[in-house]
Amino acid sequence: MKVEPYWLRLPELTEEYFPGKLIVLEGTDGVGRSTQTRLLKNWLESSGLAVFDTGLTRSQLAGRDLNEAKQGHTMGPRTALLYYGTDFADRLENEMIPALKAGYIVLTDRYIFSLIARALVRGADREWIEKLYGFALKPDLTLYLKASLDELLSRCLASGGFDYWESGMDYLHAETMYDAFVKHQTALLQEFDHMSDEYGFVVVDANRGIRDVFNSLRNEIATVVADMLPGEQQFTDFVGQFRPVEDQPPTHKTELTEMLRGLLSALEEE
Amino acid sequence: MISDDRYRGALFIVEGIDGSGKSTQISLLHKWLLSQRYSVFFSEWNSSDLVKRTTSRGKKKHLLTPLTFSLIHATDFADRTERNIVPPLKAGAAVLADRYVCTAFARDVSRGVDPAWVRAMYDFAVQPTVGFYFRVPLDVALGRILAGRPELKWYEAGMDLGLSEDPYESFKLFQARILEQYEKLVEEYGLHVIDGTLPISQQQEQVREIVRPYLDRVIRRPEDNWME
Repeated sequence: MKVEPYWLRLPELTEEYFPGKLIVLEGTDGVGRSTQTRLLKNWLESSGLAVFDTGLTRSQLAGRDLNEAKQGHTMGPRTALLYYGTDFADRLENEMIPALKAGYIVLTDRYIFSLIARALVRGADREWIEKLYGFALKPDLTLYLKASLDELLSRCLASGGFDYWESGMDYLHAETMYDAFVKHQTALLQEFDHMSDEYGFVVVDANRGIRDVFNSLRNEIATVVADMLPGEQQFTDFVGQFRPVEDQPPTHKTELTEMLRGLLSALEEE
Repeated sequence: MISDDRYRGALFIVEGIDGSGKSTQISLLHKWLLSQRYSVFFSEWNSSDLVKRTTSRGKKKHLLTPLTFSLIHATDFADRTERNIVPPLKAGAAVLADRYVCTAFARDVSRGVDPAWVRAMYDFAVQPTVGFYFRVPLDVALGRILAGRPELKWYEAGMDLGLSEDPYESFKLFQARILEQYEKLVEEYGLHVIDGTLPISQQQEQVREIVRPYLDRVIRRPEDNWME
């Protein structure tokens, strides 16, 4: 990929090109990004391409604290934005850039665009937020999974109901979480539409089934990464299970590991 | 920056390198304002409970880069602005801050962060009613800090910059860089310069003199009868 930041070049970025490629999946809440990320990763890896996948709040530095701060519901909008910025910068500098240098396809579930949209609907100044994230690298491909409000509503209901932040309850005064959800997601969809032109999103209709959405995503990605395929290798058809991530039964083993890890690092910090 | 005219209260901040005596002066100002029955709110640099664990994890495990160091401190500052600075100012209090945006500018730019980017990030800060800068020569400040051979922390000593293997040497070089940045900021942000080598009481007298004209904006607590 061409190493091109939006505004500010970090001092450590001396290279013009990285052998890897940066592919972004964007879209509002519950649009199926994590399911598709998993399928895409399987497909790319089985075709011989190394994939590093990442997403919001997964940084070593700030990920867990950020999720905990969200539980408290006392984080102001600007604080949240800067906290997410810290999480993003940590992953960019310590995970994404090294992976891109090493020739990986970096597949990221959300990038700066969700963060920008969330900030804008909460009244942040566009110039401020664009400068703040000005150190982000321009992706090779940004796929915007676009679903209608009705589709988002039915998916939200299917996956356990309304979430405080996904309904914009921190800034909206609405009678119920449903009303807030409708207002918030409508505003987000509008911001995504605006950004779509500005940042050159490839829009993928996410009102369809998992398989159809996947096929569209695969076709787009194939053109961008075809030159990375090893030798005479063709893309495989392998994707693994089609079941959405959120429908899978929780694995108690992972939960326990997570819990222990949390406990250990909490103890360590005390 | 956001103009302080929007709020009833007054915001007084102090800046200066480690060992400049600024914390002593602002805590004396704090006591004096309280004794005069003014409503005072004190906010210290890097003190937000919300982000504390991230900052301490980052510092302890040396996870911070110049960029994330800058961002996590801005997050801390945003939380304090939203929680501890703007609401008391709106209520008419005197808000005192030990270190403010210039601390971030001086430190982050010394670490190689882009000056325009970090200034743009802190654009939401409330403009102080009065900002003080405590000017001391580098060797005086270093002497005050290093006299007791304290254990210097990794980032405090600027060890992340690789200036020197020796923490004390690194600290000196890092403080020199920060001092150079501060001197540029004095004019840019209209800071009142106080000579930090003067006797403490003399400095405090100057501080009070400069603050006094702004105090009629600040709300006062009623007289406590039992103290009469």
